[in-house]
Amino acid sequence: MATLTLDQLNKTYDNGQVAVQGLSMDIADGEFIVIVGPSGCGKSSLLRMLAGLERISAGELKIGDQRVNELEPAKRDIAMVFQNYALYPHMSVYDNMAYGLKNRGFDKAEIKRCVEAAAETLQLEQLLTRKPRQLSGGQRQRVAMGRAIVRNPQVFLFDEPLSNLDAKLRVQMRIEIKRLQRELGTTAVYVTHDQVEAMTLADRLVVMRNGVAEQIGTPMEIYNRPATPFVAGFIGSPAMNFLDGSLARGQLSIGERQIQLPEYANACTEFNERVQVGIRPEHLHRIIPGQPVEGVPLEVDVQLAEPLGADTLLHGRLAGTDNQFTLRLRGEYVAADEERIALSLDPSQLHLFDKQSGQRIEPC
Amino acid sequence: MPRLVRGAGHFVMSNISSERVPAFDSHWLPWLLVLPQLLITLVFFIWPAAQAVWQSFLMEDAFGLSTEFVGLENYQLLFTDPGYYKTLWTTVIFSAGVTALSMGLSLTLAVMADQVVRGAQVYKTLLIWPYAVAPAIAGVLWLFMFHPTVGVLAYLLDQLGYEWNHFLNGDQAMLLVIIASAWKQISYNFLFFLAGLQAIPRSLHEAAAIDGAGPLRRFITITFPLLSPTTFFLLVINVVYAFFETFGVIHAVTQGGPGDATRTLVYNVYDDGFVGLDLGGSAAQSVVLMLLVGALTVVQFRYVERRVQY
Ligand SMILES: Nc1ncnc2c1ncn2[C@@H]1O[C@H](COP(=O)(O)OP(=O)(O)OP(=O)(O)O)[C@@H](O)[C@H]1O
Ligand SMILES: [Mg+2]
Repeated sequence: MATLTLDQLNKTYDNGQVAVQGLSMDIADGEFIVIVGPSGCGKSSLLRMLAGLERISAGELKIGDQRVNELEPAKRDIAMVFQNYALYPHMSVYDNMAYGLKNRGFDKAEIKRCVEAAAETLQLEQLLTRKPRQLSGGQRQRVAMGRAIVRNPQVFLFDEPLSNLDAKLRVQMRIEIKRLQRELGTTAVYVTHDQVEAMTLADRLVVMRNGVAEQIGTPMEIYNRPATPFVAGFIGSPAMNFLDGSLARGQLSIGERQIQLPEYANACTEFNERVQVGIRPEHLHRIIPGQPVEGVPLEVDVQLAEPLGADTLLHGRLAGTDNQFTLRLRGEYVAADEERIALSLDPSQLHLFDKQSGQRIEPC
Repeated sequence: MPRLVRGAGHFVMSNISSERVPAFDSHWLPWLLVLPQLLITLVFFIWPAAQAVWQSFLMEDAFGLSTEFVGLENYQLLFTDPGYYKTLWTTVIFSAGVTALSMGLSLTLAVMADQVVRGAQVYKTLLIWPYAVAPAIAGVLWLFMFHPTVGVLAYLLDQLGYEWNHFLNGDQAMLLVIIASAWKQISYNFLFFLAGLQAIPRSLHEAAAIDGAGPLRRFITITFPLLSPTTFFLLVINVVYAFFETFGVIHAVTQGGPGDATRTLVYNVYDDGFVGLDLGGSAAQSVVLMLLVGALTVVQFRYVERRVQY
């Protein structure tokens, strides 16, 4: 149990590839941090620097108050769960879990106690004598978890630990990981590219892109107030719709359409007139004929409907434009081909980004 | 050589499904395709082997003028000859030496090569060269280096106060043929060890490092056990090599001498047959050797069939 301090961390590989750039954050004791981002954005590189498996090219990393840049993995008192689990194939489940304790010179009785306690927490008691190849994917995952918790380390590191499991098991293990981490109160850093995992597990999320942390914040902060169009498009499913527009003196123009946004009349952020407008698919509501229209009216020509059960996804074009548009409506909705449906939008749920700087424009 | 290929691939192949779709519809096409192989085996193996077996039942007089069928007498003579057991013992020592030396060195080199990042290709290529050298040439090479009068290394040893003369000293002669034979086999072992090492996922080493194991401990508890299929395979291959394929080296370096210090089973077959002209006895020895190779191959096949279960 410890805090982690990342100060301007950089990773440049020998071939000149810059994987992580100027990443700074303070991680509190017991916090669950999720790092999320597209493939190749440097998530694993960052995690491996924390683990000590990759050299830190520049910057400083502290665990507690101690600078650990030069410390070997073994001395950092961390545990890591790998994507492929990395169980030792020639050792039994028991030995897999006991290995770290043996190397640290615990005596036999103590090892037995620790391993059995961990096995009980993870319901592995029946499997202790098996070899990894005799286990199912979910059981292997559990053993990998067991190997991590048995030493009671300061920090847990996870590199996409659930990506080899089927959808149902993934949900189950996700909940279990969260529960375990809560129970043990161990600081955790978790890498994933699954945004549901990211949203549900994280105390705080780090959204990375090209080696840079684009935004760090709680999942709801990031969902409600994404700092850049990239973050806005990455978090939320289906992805946010983007339109081009311009904003001047509290009036937003999208094509021919004018929307009054008085709260943006003197926006706090400096911005250029041209803006990118973001609308989440779930923030549009159907206008029921005969009822008064609240918010901004919009029309969409539907091309394809995807029923999800509880919701229906509609894909189409914003009427009168070439803009692709996706909607998420509650319940079942049977749309005729090329049907034009009328929708309304609460202007407070619009996201505006400066076209040039790519930064969010805040209302006042 | 299917034997080698199986060994190389056995950890890779283990996942391949055994349900194959029959590729041939006709009955004669498969036979036609294996015919060349069958012919070669027949002409170059079965026929000479049968000849040897037949020969081992015959005995010739000292001048090679008459031949008579003597049944198992050649075998009886062989197994009552104390010299033969001495040769067997020499072979065992020689094989153990060659196997231990060449496998030990190759494993060390492979572990080093596995860690080299820059210039790895050059390093590997250089290590593979000795395999391309013919056994007799390899023997002559080492003979020159250790030659008591003109050898560089013999001279160096002399300067260090150690007298080297493998023409007189049997132990030194044994050491020299072991070194020369082992050197030749290093490349082969190296390639297999390196492939074996590279088949171990990097994340296992990393997990072990995080689990607090230093490099040496990682090697002993993770790398070496995971390498055991390769090690066992190479053990058989090296014993077979040392037993049967080192004639060229010994012939070039010591001719079995001094005395009988480096007289191995295979050298004995040659010497009894072609120098001593005891064709029947020599043939009987060949048959014994064939049975030995057969036994070793069976051991290996059964092992590879079962595959290694960690
Ligand atoms: N050992 C290495 N040498 C050189 N470049 C590397 C090395 N490892 C990773 N990279 C590069 O660094 C960048 C970041 O890689 P990293 O593995 O951290 O991505 P990631 O976010 O984990 O991606 P994924 O989601 O696919 O696992 C990539 O462009 C990758 O090609
Ligand atoms: Mg990764």
